[in-house]
Amino acid sequence: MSNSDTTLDKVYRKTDGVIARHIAGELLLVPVSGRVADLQRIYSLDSVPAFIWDRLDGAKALDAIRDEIVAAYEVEPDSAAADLLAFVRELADSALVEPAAEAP
Amino acid sequence: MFWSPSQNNCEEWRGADATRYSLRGETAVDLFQHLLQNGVAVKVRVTGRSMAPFLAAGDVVTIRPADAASLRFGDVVLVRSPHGLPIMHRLIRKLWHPVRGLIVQTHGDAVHIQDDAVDADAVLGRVSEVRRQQDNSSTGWRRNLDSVCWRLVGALLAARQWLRSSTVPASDG
Repeated sequence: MSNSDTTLDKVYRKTDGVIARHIAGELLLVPVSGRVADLQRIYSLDSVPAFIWDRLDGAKALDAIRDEIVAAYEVEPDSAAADLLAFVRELADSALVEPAAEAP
Repeated sequence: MFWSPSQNNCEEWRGADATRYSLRGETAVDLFQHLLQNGVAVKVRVTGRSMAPFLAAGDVVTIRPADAASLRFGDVVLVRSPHGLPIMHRLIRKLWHPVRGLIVQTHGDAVHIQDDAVDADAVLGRVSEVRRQQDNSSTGWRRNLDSVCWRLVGALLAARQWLRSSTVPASDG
């Protein structure tokens, strides 16, 4: 699946090789390959993207996550969806998440 | 990508981005410790000149989990300094302190002042590999510090610093 196929009906999960660690108010994502963590490729998420990250659990479709965003923040659904899709594509490009099963 | 603040006192929604992150100070120590204690080696870029010419700024080193007891004279080790900062210097001495137990003394190859001695639990890991990329080139080299050759080089460099240093650790006690 290419990232251009990222749509709201898709389900994503965190890649197995990613270690997430909360440090100093930020969520750091560290890609790990072959038991080696490359600290030149650390990503930092503040509380807003971390809200999405926590919900990319391999079970919840992106439209359900969009609904949770709309419930938690004052934001229009279309705007939330656009930001969500862009963010998930960014994570997928960095191999931090990958497509899981389709939503039931 | 800015969304308006929430009316229900939630945090402002500012869109979502994953930012490339540069490790600093105590944050780095926390992450090093978490990864290495869980058996994950870390690959990190060297900054500073205190280990020149053996390590240069920009080199990429692989640090593997290690405890103080397993370290050998001349190893390049990553320790948490008494100030909570990460230091990657060469082991020049291990001592037994009656109160603190095993303590570790490190020294930068290119500096004249030895580091504060640290307790065994401040040892985070040991450098096992160094990679250097030549400037403006795709070529470079790799050193396996576990090899006999580089262990010998490490021991010689440590001996030089050991001879230069005082016989009493800087912060013993």
